[in-house]
Amino acid sequence: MQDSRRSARTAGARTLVDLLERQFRDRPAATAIRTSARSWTYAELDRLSARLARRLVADDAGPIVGLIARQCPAALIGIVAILRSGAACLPMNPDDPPLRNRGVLDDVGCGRVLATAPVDWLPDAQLIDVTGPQTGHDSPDSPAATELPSPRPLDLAYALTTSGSTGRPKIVGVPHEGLLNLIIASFEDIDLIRTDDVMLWTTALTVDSTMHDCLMPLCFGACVAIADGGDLPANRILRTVRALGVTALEVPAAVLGPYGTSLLPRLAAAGVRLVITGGSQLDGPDLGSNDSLVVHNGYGPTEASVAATWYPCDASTPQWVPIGRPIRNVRTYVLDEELNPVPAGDTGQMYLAGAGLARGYLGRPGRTAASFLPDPFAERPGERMYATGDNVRLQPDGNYVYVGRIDDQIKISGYRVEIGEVEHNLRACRGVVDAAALLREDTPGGAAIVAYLVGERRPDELLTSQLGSWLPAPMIPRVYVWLDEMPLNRAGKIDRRALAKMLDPALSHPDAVRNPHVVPFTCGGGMDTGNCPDAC
Amino acid sequence: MPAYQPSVADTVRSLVTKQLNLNGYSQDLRPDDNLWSLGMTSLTCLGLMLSIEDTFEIELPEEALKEATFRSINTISAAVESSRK
Repeated sequence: MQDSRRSARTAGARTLVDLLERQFRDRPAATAIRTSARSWTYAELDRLSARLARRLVADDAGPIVGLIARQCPAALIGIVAILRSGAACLPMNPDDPPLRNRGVLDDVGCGRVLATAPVDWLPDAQLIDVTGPQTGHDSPDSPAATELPSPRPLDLAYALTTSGSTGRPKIVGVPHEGLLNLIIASFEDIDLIRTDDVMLWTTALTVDSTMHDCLMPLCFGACVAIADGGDLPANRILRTVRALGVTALEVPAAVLGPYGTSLLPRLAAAGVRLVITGGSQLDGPDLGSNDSLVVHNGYGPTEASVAATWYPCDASTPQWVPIGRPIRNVRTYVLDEELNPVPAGDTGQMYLAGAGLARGYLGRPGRTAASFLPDPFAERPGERMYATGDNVRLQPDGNYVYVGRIDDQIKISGYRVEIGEVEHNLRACRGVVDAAALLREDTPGGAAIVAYLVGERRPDELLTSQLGSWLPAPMIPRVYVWLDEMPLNRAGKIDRRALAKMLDPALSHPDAVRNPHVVPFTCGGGMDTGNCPDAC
Repeated sequence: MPAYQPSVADTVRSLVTKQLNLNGYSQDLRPDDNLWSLGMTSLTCLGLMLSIEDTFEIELPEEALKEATFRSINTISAAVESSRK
């Protein structure tokens, strides 16, 4: 498609809602959502989401509306409805501990929650209807006279919970402007979506790439495909792709790195043209060697609207895959500790600025100010830049390469975890006097968080169950190692290097690690194609 | 078919050992040990499935794509045997 034709599709759009409404108007008969059981046209999506949005407006539900759901058509209709009501969507995982979810609702002062299945701990949650009126008219109970508002570019589009190093989760508020900029760049600049694409929704609702993967197709008249769920969704990915005619999907880097050489040729043979990846460092051979399929590696924290830089793999792509270049309207700086630019090619911390920046951590002004700093390089004074905590360097070819973290944040199966939050909760467990946690790749079964504990020894199951009432499943350690004392370094801090080298019976004998807790594939950048509730 | 071939179970055992980081004690691994209890995650299960399909040049049938199939060396071997028929 000509660039001018592409840009005509987005000209004048101020928010995602503007782009969505153009599709409702221009392509009513096209398929917007597809499952193996049925599909929804843009006209149906329009009716169902407008009806729900009017109700939210009439009830004065905003500015933030919760959404407790797994992947299913109702969840997608819910997201669109919340945006059309002018509110921001706060996605929550039904599997996360109620205590944590309730704390998040309280923290942002969210009083209205939509759900796709009844929620035990929140009986008030409103179930989303995916059948709705069969005609173009609103049902009598919906106040059709209610005008849907037009959100403004700096109104929040969504808010997402992320691990907090001090033991309490942070809630990142992201305005329309950032996601709109990414979605327009995806269409006009980097070919992440075409109108004839069928994009499979593979990520958990609570991951920000869901907003990109699901809303981007709908903004350009393409189709979102949703799997049926069931056992081992990741293992079914090829069948799902074939059954739903999928042409594009996200596969988390945690999967694509190790298994790409086996997975990509099969996806290409099944008709997939594009694999979007990200969530953690992409590390794997031959990711650019398929003729009919391209892998696009996206990099960026939630605080910068899903992804700030992109890299398309090709035949020359190395195993440690670069994170690419910034998209339009995004600025990148590599700075030293004094916030001076490092010489080109040297390692420094990545700072992001421009269109993609989040508003900050909701209700946490101090944390926001610590991470979103004045941007001394901006042409317009008063702009901010986000300190990512990621060390990077710039290659001569203009692509950035990720080098590592400046702190203790880890990624497990693509799920972002602040080790400090795990350790804080471990110390709160009965009997534990001191605790440290590490990500170890060498644990039986695959990479796991390993907890090193000092105190009164207790069975793993008791710790797991206590932690399970506070933490999402991916943050719960899979292996527990009790020590007589914590190794300390000269500075008197926990010696993590010593812990990492420690050979413990628990890590080397099978009978010692029979811990039934299984880290789900899903929660972070994972392919969460979990069960669709009955309502769908 | 050659007269001798490594048994399906032996090949499955070596793939399980490699995919699940069990190198330290593969000789201790019993054919009916529960791999989920040994720490297999859905992520490493995917890797195990892909390596099995690549090695045996098969595609496991839809009904085999469940947790029970990947429970042990025995159950995986049985699924491989029945796909090869």
